Amino acid sequence: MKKLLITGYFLIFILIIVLLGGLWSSYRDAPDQPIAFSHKKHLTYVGLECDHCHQYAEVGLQPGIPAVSVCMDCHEAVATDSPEIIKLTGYWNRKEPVPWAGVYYLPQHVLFTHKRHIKKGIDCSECHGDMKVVEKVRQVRSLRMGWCVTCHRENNAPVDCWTCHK
Amino acid sequence: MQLFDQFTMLLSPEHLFLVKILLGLMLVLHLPYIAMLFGSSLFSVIFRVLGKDRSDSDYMRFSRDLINTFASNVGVALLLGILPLLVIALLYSQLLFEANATTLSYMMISFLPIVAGIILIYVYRSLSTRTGLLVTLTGFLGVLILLAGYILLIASIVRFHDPEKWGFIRNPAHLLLGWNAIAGTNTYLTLSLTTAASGILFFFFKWTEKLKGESKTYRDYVRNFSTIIGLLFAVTTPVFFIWHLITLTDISYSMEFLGLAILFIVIMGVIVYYFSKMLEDSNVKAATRTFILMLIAFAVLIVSNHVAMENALKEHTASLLTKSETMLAELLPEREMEEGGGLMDFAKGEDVFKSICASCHRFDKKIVGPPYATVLDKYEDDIESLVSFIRNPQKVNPEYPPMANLGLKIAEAEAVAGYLIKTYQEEYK
Amino acid sequence: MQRRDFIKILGLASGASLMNSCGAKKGAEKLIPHVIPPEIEIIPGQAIYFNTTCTECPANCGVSAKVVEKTIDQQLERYPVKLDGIKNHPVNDGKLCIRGQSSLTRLYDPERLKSPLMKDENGEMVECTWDDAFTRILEALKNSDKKHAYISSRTTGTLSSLIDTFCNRLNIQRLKEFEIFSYATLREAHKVLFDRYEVPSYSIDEADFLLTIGADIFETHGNPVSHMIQYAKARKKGMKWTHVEPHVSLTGLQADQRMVLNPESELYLLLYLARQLAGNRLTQLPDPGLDRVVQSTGLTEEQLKDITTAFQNASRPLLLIGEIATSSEHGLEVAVLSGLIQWTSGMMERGIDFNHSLNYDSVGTFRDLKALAWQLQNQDMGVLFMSKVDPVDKHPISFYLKENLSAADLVVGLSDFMPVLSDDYDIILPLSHSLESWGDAETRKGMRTIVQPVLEPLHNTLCEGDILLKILEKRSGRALAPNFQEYLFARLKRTLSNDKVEALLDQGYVETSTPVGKLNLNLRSVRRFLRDITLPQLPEGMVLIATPSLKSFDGRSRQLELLNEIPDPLTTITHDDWVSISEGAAKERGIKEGNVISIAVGDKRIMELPVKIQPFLSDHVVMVQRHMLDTFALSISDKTGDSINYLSRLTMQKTGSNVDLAIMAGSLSQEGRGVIPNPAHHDAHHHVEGRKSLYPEHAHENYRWAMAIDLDLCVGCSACVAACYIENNIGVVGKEEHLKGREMSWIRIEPYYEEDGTAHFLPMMCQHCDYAPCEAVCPAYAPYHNPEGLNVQVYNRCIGTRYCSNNCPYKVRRFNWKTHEWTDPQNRGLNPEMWARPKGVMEKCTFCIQRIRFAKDKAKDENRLVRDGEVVPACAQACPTNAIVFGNIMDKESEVYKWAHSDRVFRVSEHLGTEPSVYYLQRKRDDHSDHA
Repeated sequence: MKKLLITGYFLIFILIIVLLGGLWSSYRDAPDQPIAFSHKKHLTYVGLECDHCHQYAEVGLQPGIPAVSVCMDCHEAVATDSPEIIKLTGYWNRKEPVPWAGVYYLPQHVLFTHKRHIKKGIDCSECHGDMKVVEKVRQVRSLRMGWCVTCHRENNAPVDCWTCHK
Repeated sequence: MQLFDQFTMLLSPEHLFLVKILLGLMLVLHLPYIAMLFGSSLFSVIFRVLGKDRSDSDYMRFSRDLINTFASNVGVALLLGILPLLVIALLYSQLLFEANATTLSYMMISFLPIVAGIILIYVYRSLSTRTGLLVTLTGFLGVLILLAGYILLIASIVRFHDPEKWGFIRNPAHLLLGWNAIAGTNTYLTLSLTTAASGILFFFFKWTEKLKGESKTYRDYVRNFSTIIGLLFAVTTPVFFIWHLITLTDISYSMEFLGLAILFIVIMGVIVYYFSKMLEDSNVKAATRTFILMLIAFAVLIVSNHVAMENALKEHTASLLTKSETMLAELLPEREMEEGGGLMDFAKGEDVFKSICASCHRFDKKIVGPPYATVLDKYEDDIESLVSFIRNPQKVNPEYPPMANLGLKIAEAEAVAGYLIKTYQEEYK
Repeated sequence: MQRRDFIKILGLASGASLMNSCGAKKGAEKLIPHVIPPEIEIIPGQAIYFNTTCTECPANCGVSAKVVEKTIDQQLERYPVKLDGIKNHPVNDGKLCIRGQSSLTRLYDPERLKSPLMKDENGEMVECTWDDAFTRILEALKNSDKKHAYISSRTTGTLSSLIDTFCNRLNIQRLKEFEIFSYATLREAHKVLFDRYEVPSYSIDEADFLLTIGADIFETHGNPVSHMIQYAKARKKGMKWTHVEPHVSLTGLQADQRMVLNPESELYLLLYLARQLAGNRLTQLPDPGLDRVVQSTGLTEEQLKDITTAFQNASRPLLLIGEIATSSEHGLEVAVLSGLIQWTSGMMERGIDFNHSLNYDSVGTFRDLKALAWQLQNQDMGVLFMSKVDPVDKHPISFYLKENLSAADLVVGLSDFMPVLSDDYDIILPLSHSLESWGDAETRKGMRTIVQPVLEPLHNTLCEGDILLKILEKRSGRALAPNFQEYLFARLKRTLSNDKVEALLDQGYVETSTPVGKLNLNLRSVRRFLRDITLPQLPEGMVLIATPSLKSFDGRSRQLELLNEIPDPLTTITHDDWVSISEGAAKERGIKEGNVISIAVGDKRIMELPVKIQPFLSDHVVMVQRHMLDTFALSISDKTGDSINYLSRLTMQKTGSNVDLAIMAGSLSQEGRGVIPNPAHHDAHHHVEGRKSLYPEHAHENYRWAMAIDLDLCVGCSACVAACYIENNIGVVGKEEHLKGREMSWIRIEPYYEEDGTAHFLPMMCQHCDYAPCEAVCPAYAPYHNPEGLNVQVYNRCIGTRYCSNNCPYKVRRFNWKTHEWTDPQNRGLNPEMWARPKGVMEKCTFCIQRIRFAKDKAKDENRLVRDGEVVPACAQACPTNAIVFGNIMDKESEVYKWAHSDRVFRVSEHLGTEPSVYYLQRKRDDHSDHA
């Protein structure tokens, strides 16, 4: 009886951990991308700047995902025999967009503008981490409201609800 | 913190791995010791007060026994209590090199109260045969200060998991205010008290058989007290642990971490079972096993936290490694100068061109980069700047994507530059 | 199974629902890039605007379509999310009416036809391919030796010329185009007067006295938006307006003086006026004598004198007549006489413009339908094309069109929705919306507008031009043009200079010069006509008047759910058909609101409809919107071919059944509550300042947003309501919810019929009170006051207690009783700047905070404050009369500050101490009509 009680008690905790693990791996872990694009390669090795591909970060709400043609500018010639680039060429030949998996998720009622933050001089890495070393992208900031608000308070940015909610 | 960055330097991947192992080891040595020291002196002070209050000699004796057993040797205190602190500080600042983690400084600050606490507790021990309020106060103060330092230390370690909050932590209160930090500290505290209780059982009944000559009442009392305290805190520990887990940042998670968490829970389950069995059977049969399991549990907790931090700082570590790689690369070429190559080695130049440059460049047409025929003109008399451009490309024409740094060695770069200029002059001029 | 998967499944099974509320499954949200970046640079999250043309009605207003890029079903596409007028457009100058605003919902309507349909052997309509449909049509064209015919609604520009080509090549007879509002009487009158079978365009803005007789200038007549814009201009210059009508119309209620005459007695009034105003030159006019005029029209002698004095005293008077006056038995006489008055008072030079007359050249009348009916009856109809028109549904019953339609070999319908009488068709070809098609329009002479696509067709549809080109190509094997776009551009380049074509594409319209034709009065025909005028006997007893409809025009917009959801401004009824009778008539017969009555002429039953009591309506008049009539019971005038919108010798009977009408207003009267305060007490109510309050004063740093609404300019056209629905993703909930009082509109038009015979239209939306009653009662702090003076609802905080709504004295808070379903493709039209609120959340007007945010963002980029006029809420943007201004009231130079300090200003329920941020300006009144 006592053994059962103890086992039951600790089993609950184990179940919770398993549950957390399941949720984490299906909701919060770094998603698999259709093409294993490496930011590290392009930023560190090739030396591209963020805005080479995400060219609207400074002017738009969203930084923009580069068109497949932008990839093909170089990859028509570079590394054409690598399996990932073959996938890319496949998309290009079929004239299909690459369905990149979204990593940073914001709910629909939140409005985030990249422009305002970049213009303020906040470095991309403040929220995205050091992309120069990242192979597979994961969400490195919680994007929770408390986090946003704390930073807004620290920097005397507006904290009115409708600054960020819609 | 820049302060700590001054004392440390970039490490190679192998060194970094060593640092992690060493850090884990140090923590496994240090934390259980502090835990037992803290628990035993806390109980000792409490029993001293109680004994005085009720004029019970057993209480007074238990109080003295406790402090004498766990704070017996100054050497141990130095070896397990103070020395690891310095190593831990060094190792953490190594791991968090250039991470700008304010929490690191709070961890350093925590060392002062910890050392002060240890000293006070040892003073208390040496005075414990005497009576007087001052002695009790010394002990009490020692415990309190140690607790404060301990909490600060644990909280900063817990906060290493959460890089997004580092910028917002402005004082020790910020460090502690947060569900994750509260739950994390509490996990360690409850686990410490469990460890202390199982330590009492082990050291009083198994290690030295110290209580052999004592009265049965006293023995029973000590046994009962320790078992109940141990059971109580062993049961509560997983609650805080799970709470800590739930409030942990997503980036700290990994399958390894969760596996360790499950292992920890299982061990705690076994410990609880042993405690309850000892309580039921009124014996100390399982005391050794419990104590060893206790130490293992502590180690598992420390390692799991370490893994969590590891996960959270994945990008940071990767960037440290990349930096060290580039640093090494900068150091290397000087050594390679001796290898063959040089401006006149056209055969090697052609090889390099074909295997590397040709994916983006041709002499006569645009592929990714511009055709050489249009750009080589300016390097004709200045081959050195072509070599340095190849080794460290800058953006020239905004219409083209920037050229990659292909990491050519000096000899290779010179060979290919020579080849390019020669071919350009011979065929395309 | 891997360890990872095991844990995943176990975790998911138990906790997915828990997590769903706080995140998306990893990678589920796809970031779809372009394959090749579009030619126009689109900054992600920023809208672009295209200029095109509205095709909801023949006015063809210029439309500036706001287009955003969205990823839906893993496809990145452009979608229009809001339509507004093109700034400085000669027709609609930045404004769109309620129907134009709702045009967007037509595009996304799930009921739209999605592919070609063909009748199979069992008489069922089944989907088919375009090719099959074309083959069948061509076979029928070839095999039948009968005549073929093509009938369409009004087309202009390139499409019209393509239809001509099409009909010529395939030997099809092109019938006169069919429009219910064909202005046949007006055109006939102008033919009598000036030999011009035309409808002129009007400009009211220069007039200082406007006399309208039965003219629905704000509902359907000509270019209603243009009329409203001009009215506002004239009104600001102090124009006085007298309106004479037998019924109650939106236009009439806005006039300074609204006079009610007996139905069909306009001729007497016009005779009187002509004699008084055109004077001695019209000696051959019959003279009914003042007594007879008074007795026939029901107007008092004083009223008649008022009109003539005002007319004579005015330096630039303008007389307009419209549908109600011209659609009686004596409509032509009325139109000719008013034309004469217009001519003699020199209005042809200022206000009535024949040089830019509306393009109705190829539009026929009801009479022309007779030809069609005759051909059908003679079994001589091969293939009949009916494009965007359903004459069968609309024709006079005496034509027996429906009965004979089966005589045609093949009936081909071109339509965007399933036609009402779909059984009669053999093939139905789905048409693209104008936002999906190329085209052009020449709504009036000297005016070319472009229709350009802003998105790819949502369904398997084609535009009419493409259909015709494809049939021609299939027939001859040779393409006239690869597609209608090419055909259009070829024609544009032929008829316009390059600059003009470019301007057309860029600004959406070009104006071309038109020959200034001198208008000559044809004295001979006028004399002959005047000689034949006889004094008619007026109908006795009850008369039914079929009126044009603001919301559905001639019935063409009635499929649109949004329009059904928006209350009729006169009665605030939604979703239902009804018949309006006066309170007296109802009492006399013991009829209550909602009772279904049966109306018959003689013993012919016309319709059965529920009753709504309409204030101000004469006791012997029954009013019904034209499209609500069961069958087309109206008759056709022999003289003009126009329909006669009057039915006399009515009998009304209660059927005993009842319909719960969804009436949005609790009462059409202020019930003496002084919502709009009596001007006599103006000072007592005005500017209560320094009120004591338990709450701290709000501090405002740079902005304090406020709105002002001029009731003198608000005509109740409800364009703002439609604009608000679309801008803010407000759910359309349907009649059942409306009956429960669960309407969702953030802005409503409250009609108030006053005892003195005037009416107010009060736009009511969240008043953004400084001391808002809603804020104090919320346990979750969901409504709060933001630093810029807005009363803001935080949806995420809202837990749905609805206390705020209970405590709101203005009844402007709306609760989401359910999650509104935006079925595909409706979801494509949602405004991405706004969230579609889920179930259980309170919502309300935000002063279009997304637009405030946008303006502030722009200002911040340029390092300045928001300028006055930079923030325009959707309602203000849509308002044709510019009756709504919005701005920062802390800026003393701002328009809203000036309006808020006008001497006509009041705030609703000011005595409650809520300190609203919405200021209303009372209607201007003549001194003698002031409430004393």
